[in-house]
Amino acid sequence: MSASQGNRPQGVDPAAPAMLNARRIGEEAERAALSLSLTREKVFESYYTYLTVDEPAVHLMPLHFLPQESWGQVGEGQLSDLAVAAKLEYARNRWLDEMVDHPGSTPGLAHAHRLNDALITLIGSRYAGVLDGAAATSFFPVLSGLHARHGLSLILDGCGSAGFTYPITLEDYAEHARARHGPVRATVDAVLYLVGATDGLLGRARSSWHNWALGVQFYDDALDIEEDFRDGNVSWAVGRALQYVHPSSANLPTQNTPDPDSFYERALAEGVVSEALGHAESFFAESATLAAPDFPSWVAFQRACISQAGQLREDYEKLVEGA
Amino acid sequence: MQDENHTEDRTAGGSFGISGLLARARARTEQEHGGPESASPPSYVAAALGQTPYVAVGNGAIVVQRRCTNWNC
Repeated sequence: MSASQGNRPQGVDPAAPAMLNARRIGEEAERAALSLSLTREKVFESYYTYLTVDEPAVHLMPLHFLPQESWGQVGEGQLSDLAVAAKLEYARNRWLDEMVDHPGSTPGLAHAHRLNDALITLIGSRYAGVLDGAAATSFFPVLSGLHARHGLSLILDGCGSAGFTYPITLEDYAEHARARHGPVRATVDAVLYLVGATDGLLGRARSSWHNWALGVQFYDDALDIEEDFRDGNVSWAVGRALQYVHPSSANLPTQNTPDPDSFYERALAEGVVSEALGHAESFFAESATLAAPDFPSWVAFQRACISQAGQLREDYEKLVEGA
Repeated sequence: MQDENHTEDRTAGGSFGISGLLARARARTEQEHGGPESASPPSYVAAALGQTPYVAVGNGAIVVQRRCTNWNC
C-alpha cells in the first residue's frame, strides 16, 4: 500500500496534507531499536516484546494532534520521526512498568541501565532531528520534566501498597496515572511546538491526551480487576471493591481478603466494574471536548472509545441484572 | 459454551448464588480481549487497539494496518 497523495484509500480526505501508516511506524521503530548494540542481551528481549505490539493510537499520535490550520507546515517524514519516537517511548514505558510490577525480572542492572540510556538517546535523536531553535528550546525541558515525574511514579509503584494512603482516591489515582503515562505524551508536545501552537492550544492538547490515557487506564483496570487483585496490584477499581469487602478498614486489608472468585463476584455485583468503565467513558468524553474543534480525528477516536467502553459497561450490567 | 459454564458454576455453588455471573463475565472479558473474530463490527477504537487492519478517518487521513493481515502481508 502506497501512502501517496494521489492514491489514497477510500474515506481519506484528498485535502489532507500528510498520512501516517501505522504499520510502517511500527516497523521503523523496530528497525531503530534493532540498530542498538544491545540486541543480544536478555534485557533487550523484554523491551522488544513491547515494541512489536501494534499500538495504532500511539503510532498515529502526531497526526491526530497536528492542528488543522497547520496542515501543510509539517511533512510526512517529520510526522513519521515523531511517531517513531512515541513508539520507542511507549515501549520503554511498558518495559519499565514491567520491571516495577515484577521485581527480579531484570536480567542485569548494568544491562538495564545501558539499554535505558541507549533508548533515551535514540528517542532524543528522533526529536532533535525534527525540532530546532525555539521549538527545541521549549520541548526538551518538558521532556525532562515528564521523565522526572515518571521516575517518581515508578518509585511509588515499587513501594506497593506502602506507597500510598488507603483508600486511594480517584483524584490521587488519576494524578499518579498522569505521571506514569506522561513521557508518551511528549510527541503531542513536539508536534505542537513544531508548528508554533499557542500555549492555550498546547494546554488543551495535553489535557485531552491525558484524559484519553486515563480513559484507557480505567478501561484496562475494569477488564483486569480480577488479575490485578490476584497479583496484588492495587488499581483504583481493586481498592474500590475492597472497600465493599472491608467497609470499616482504614488500611489496605492484608488479612481476611476474599478468594479471587468471591472478590470478582463482589466487584461485579456491587457495580465497581461498571463504575470504572463509567469513569473511562467520562475521561474519553472530556478528551473529546478538549480536542474539538482543532483535532477532529482525535475527537472521532474518543467517540469510538466512549462507544466501546459504554457497550462493555452495559453488557456487564445486563449480566449482573440477570444473575 | 456460556450456558455450560453457567450450569457447572451453579452446581459448584457460589458465595452470592450468582456464580454463573463469573463465567459469563469472564467470557465477556475474553471477548473484549479477543480480537476481530469475537468483537463487534470494526470500530475506530478497535483499530486503535490493533484489532482492525484498515481504517481511514477522512479529515485526518489516517491509515491503520495491522501487521501480517492478508490485506498487506
